[in-house]
Amino acid sequence: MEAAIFWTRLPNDFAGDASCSRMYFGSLTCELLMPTTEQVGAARDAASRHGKSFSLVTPWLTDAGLQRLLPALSRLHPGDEVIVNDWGLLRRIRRDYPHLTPVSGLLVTRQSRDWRATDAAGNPAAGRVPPSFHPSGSFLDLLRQFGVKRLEICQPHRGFVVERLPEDLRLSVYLPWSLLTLTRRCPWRTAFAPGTLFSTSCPQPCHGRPTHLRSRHDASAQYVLLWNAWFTEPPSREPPASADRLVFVADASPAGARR
Amino acid sequence: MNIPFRPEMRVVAPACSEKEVSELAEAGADEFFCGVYLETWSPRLGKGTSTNRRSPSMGQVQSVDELARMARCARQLGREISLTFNRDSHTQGQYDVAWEMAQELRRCAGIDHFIVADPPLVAKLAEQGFHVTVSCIANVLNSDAASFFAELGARRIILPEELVRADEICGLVQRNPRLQIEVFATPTGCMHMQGLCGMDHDLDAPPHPLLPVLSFAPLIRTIKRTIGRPLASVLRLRRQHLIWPCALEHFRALPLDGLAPDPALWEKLESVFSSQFVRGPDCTFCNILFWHHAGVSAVKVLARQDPLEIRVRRTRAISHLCHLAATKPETEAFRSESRAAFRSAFALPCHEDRHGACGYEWLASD
Repeated sequence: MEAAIFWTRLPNDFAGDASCSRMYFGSLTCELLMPTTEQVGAARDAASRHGKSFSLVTPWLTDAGLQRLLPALSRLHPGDEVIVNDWGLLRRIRRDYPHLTPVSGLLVTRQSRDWRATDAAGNPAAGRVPPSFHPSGSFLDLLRQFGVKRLEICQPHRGFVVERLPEDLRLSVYLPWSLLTLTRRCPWRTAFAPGTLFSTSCPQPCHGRPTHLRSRHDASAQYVLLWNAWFTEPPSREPPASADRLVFVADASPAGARR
Repeated sequence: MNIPFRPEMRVVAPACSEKEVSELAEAGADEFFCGVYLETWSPRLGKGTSTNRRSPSMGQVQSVDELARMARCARQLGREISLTFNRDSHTQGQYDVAWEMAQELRRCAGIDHFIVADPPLVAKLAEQGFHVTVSCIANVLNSDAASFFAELGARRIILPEELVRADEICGLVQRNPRLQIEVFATPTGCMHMQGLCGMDHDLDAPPHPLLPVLSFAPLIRTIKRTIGRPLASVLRLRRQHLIWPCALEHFRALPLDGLAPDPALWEKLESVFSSQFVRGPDCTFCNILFWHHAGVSAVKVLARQDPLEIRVRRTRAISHLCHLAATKPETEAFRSESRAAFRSAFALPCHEDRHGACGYEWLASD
């Protein structure tokens, strides 16, 4: 099992983390959290220095976000992975960056993520079939056409079925949380940077502040707000048997990311 | 100023029956869209699962015969009707069922326009001669993503609501001149990115404690007018009668274990949870003039579960504004008309009188 740590910013005391063999670096849920080209270059160099493989994580992208991102791709080495969460970027990589390895990120792969689909014991909600990650062969064929050989999913909730992928495809799982939803109307920016909601720059007030959200009406609805996204916490950290890579999100535990 | 001629934008309205098709056409709808839930296909699709991310009881056409009547009526009126097949992903079994359904509905009901989100289904339907529109659920936010779907055979893209800035919409339209672009004329009020959201709206949400009151929308509007919107907001009186587990206003923000508590910080964060900015704009009618000049082809009216009377009012107002945008391009005159149209469509004054969020302001962000 390969282990990776996903950093949105490289810590000053980054020392390589002997526990992982791959560095994930970038932004998953917000194009304004994407590191600059220089930061990507520095992270790539740090990965080389410490003998780590490198994956650049990219989010959903507007035209402006895509234009900001493209120069960073030129800092990557042949064979480096780009975690793709936008169909437009996948198209670009096949056309203009064939030396890079695209990976189908969480937002492209798609999986059932609503924790209400099963109860605490893992039984499907009344009248429903068990939720599953079972992409169609047609979807996988389309990804193959674009050079994708790896798909990524979140740690599934109890009772969610993860089907084994065909032999030529690999599966990564993100820990410790499961991405539920995300927004462009960022509550952090609204609260701490009023007037910048859709502007093209952001002071990133979300950083280092994962926050519990607790429903006033429904005790089962408890989330973690991290960046501009809502996560749920699956009770188990046991990854699906078919996964061969675990990706731990460092920002999920700022105090002890390397545990 | 030399303004290039642009054809009037088409108005796309939600219909659930033959009667609704004719009434909405009379109100100015140029095209229609609908969803279908057929009990006979349910066992293969997965019990309680629809082809369009709505629950079986939520604004769905329930029979092939009704769909055929709607399609016939639309054709007689010289209009098209599109069927929403916008699940974002399918298992192989669901994919096969969706493909078989499309073929059967073309044969039995004469439907060959589909709104689709799953890329392989876009490709399959387009390859077989169906007219494919890419759903907002596919989350096309940039020109390359639009080109990706165009290369799969799509003819039209419905832009996600999150694409709000003028430069973003203009760039996408201009870089894809062969694609038709459609936008939402009435906001959904959801803060989440629809195409990336993992919440399953097929699943029931718990009822709001004030359900009997909140189900009656005109009463809510009256209460809001009487006590004022800020107070109504404090009392959480919204037309929404279910507590969706994604609605931020129902949540408290607390520091995560292990982080130093900073009550002021979390209180400030929580204070924006019910704000209009996070919840979304009440109105985007003033944007219609911009969309017209940007080259947008069609505007969509929401939502198919709403009463017909409301959909007719919205369709009439939006159709009027689309015509006006093509014939009376002065901005201030148009904005004055659009505010009046909002009042007639929603029986409420424009956001500016209610301190709500304005989609026109979002258009010009930055």
